[in-house]
Amino acid sequence: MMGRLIRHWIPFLFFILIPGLVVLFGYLMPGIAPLTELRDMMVEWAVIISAFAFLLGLLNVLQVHGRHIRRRRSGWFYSLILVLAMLLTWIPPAFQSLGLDFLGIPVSSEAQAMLATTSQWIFDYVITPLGASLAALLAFTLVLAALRIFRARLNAWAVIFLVTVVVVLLGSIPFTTGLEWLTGIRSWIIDVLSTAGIRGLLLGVALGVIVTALRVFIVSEQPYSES
Amino acid sequence: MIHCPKCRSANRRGSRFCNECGEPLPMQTALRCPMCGAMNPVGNVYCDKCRARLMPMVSDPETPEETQPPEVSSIKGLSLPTIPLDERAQTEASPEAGEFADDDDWLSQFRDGDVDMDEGPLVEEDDEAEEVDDWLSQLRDTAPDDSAMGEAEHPVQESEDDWLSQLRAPEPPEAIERPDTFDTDDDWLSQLRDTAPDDSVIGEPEHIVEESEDDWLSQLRAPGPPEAIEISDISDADDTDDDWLSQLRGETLEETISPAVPTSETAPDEFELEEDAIPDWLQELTPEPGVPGVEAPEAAAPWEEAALDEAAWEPEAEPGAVPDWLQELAPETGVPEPAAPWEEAALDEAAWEPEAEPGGVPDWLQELAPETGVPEPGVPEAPHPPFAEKIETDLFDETPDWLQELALEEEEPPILPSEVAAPVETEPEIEAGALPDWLTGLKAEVAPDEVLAAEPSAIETLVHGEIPAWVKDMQPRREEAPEEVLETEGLLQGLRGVIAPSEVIEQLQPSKRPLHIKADEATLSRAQLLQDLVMSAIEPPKPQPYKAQLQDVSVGERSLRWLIALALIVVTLGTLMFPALLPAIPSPTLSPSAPYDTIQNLNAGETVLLVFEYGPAESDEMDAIAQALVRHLLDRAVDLSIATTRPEGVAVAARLMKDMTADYTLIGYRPGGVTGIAQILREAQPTPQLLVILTARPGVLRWWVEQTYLEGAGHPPPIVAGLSAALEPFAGPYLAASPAQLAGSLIGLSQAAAYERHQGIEGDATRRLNALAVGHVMIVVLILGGAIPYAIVGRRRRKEQ
Repeated sequence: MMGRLIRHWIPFLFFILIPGLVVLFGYLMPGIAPLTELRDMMVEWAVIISAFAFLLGLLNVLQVHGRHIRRRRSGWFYSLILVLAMLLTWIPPAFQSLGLDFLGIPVSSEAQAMLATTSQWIFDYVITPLGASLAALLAFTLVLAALRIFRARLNAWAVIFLVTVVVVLLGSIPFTTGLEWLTGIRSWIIDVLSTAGIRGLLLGVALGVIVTALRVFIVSEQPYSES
Repeated sequence: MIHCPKCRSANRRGSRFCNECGEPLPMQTALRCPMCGAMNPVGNVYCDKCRARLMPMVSDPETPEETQPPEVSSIKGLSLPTIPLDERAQTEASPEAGEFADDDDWLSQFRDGDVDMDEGPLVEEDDEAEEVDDWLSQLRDTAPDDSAMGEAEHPVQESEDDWLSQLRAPEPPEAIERPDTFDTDDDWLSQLRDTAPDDSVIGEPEHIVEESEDDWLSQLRAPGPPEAIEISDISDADDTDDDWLSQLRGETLEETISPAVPTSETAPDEFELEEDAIPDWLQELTPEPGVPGVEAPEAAAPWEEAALDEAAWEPEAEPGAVPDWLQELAPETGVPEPAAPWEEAALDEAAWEPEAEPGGVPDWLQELAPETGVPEPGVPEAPHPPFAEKIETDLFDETPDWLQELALEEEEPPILPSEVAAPVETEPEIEAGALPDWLTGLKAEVAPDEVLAAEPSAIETLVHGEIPAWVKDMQPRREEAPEEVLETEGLLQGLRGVIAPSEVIEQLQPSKRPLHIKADEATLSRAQLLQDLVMSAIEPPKPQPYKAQLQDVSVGERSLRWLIALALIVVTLGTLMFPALLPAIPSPTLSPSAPYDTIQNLNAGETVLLVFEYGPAESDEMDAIAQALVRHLLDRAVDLSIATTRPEGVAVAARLMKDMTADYTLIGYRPGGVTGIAQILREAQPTPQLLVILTARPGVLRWWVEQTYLEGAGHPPPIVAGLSAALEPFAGPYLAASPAQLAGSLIGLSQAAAYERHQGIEGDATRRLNALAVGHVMIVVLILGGAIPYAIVGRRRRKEQ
């Protein structure tokens, strides 16, 4: 009994119910100043906790991949590259932020400028091109899948899908003559059919968020529990 | 859990009926803990309740004698009806002398071993004891008739019971119905004859015989206290005895039933119960000193002498004192009567009875003596017990003559009274008046080969009973226990006789009945596949190397992939590198112009919050859109504040703004998703007049809109969104809302180009528009060009299938 009180009810009360109700009513009743201040304070705490969660994730990645490298598991070389890239991207900005003075190491201005631009250089000339390449590969894969859709199934829905793809792609091209009607059809598809579907999706998402929050409040759902 | 045989539902162990259907559940064997009495599964080594050991741990015996059978059945999985240790101890404990409350006590004495007559572990020792107890108890329990004048049907039984009862109790012996099975009596009697004389008794491996022998022998030898069971019983019995025993003492041996006992006919001194008063035959039976539990015969005490004198084995009963039933047995003409099985058994039992005087051996008994090996003149030869074992040759010389004569040979089992077969035709008929009817009917089918008869004619008249084979099988045999392997590891360490699982598995024979199943090849192939899957070891699938994966791809598929890639690359790169090759595509018209107008309405110095919510993957498209908006904002001379909730957002913003060479205020990165947005909106001071959101994710757009209107509390700043073309459907509801939650949106590269055109600037969006258009056209061509052939091929394959 006592254990359940400590493990379950106290955390729920002080970390779930009270903060959730304070933030909720803080937004519902913004005129109550103390409640608004309490709300803002809790939001700041959540941001701080999120920052530490990000740091925790970073350390966990280092730990996992470091174990792979140490035990020479399959794919340990890729883990090594990841760790090196992480350190290379993280250390220079860290030194830049902290300053090398606190280490007592005299650094020239050029070196400091280089440290300041290292991470940006990596981002500009390594990360960004790689990301763009992945996006392009996605386009290639979608084209290949659309091209073979008839081989897997030949039905009305496959035909409708294919026609829609063609209309939307061609409608995105600004044609000045001859195919303006294609642009109109595309706009109708986007504004009517697609928008209606997205509306329903957004409403469902909003309702789901509300229900999930209520379930957490009434202890019907315990994402924080081990059971 | 016990599964119901009817509905297969699970029930708690110990349930007698199924909870679902009420079907009686089969009783399952279990092991009962000797400590707490809890029932445990058969395979348990330790009790589930009290952790007591259920299976005894047997240590390695140093000598064969130390090898003892386990208390619990050594056969794994077999659960015999368990008896609590206390009860078992009680049953196995030697009762105190003089306590004959239970009929089994006197027998159990010998079983447990004041007199250790064991020569080795017996196979059916306990069973024999139980069997002996059974028939003995039966003997004792039945209401006896007068010992001498009992029913004609069971005169010998009564005689047996008499001496037995006399041994135990002072009451007049009761006639006990002789059990149908004479084997047990005959067994121990025969065993008495077979064992060596130097054994303490007529030492046979069977406990029964030895114990019974030990009884009277111990009485003779041991200078025990008066409370000695046998002696007291004998003396007590003697006091009240008026039966054939006393009668036999002074009578001739004609009516005696102890022909095997060498009488003192030629050795009168043998009956003198002095120091050398122990008869020769008894002396010969005296065990060697040093045999445990056996005492050398000592000078009989006077009371012993009296007991011996009056013991039933003194064949000195006068003919006149012989009971009628016994007299009826005695042949008038002296011709040995055909010995009935029970009679022979009685004779066997009487083998250990004190020797009768030479003159007291009845003729009929003498006639039963074997032809060979006549021990002494006048010594009646006991009829050859039909199912006594052969005397060991090593000990043959030491055994008394009468005992030697009782050496068994391989003979046919005697005929039981209830199984009397047709009489042997060759046997001479006995006068009807001489024998009772029941005795006349007990004629053996086949006369034994060796008949202990003095005269061949007398032998022929004897009806030898045949012991059925099943009775012979019940005879305890000394069998060497098979060598049992000792378990040296595992839970059964220290146990012997553990059945190896291979033995059990090998016993399982496959069904030889053919299965008449008609199945097509497809079914058989599926069955074979299933069997292969089941039989194969479950292993995680090993990742195929890349080359192996490539080998799985056909040449046509590879060619198609290369074709698509080359087409797209050539078209886009060519358009970008050589824009003059294609005619310029006119920029679209910005419609609606709401985003432009919104930014255009800003005044110089107003704060604009610019949010970068995209990463490197979307940067190619989003950078073009962002540049158009940022350029316009910079043209309006507003104060830019840059914030992001993505870790890489700061780097993206820095790259873009570096190219734009603009001044801005960096709020920075705020983690937490929605909470970060709220934090940014709270920190953005002064309150921004415009919020420009650059994102390629629908969720981020939604968060910003929601938080903006929440933080704004009625006066939210206008929101202009720069979105990827994929988010065009997601922006529609916000744009179509009333009032619109988005003041304007710039969606995709085409609208960015239109925005630039509206500004009169030719930026990246305009330059990439041609490549975008050509790429779209190529994709459409590839899709249409490949879908139609694939449709035709796929239709053919489906038809084939």
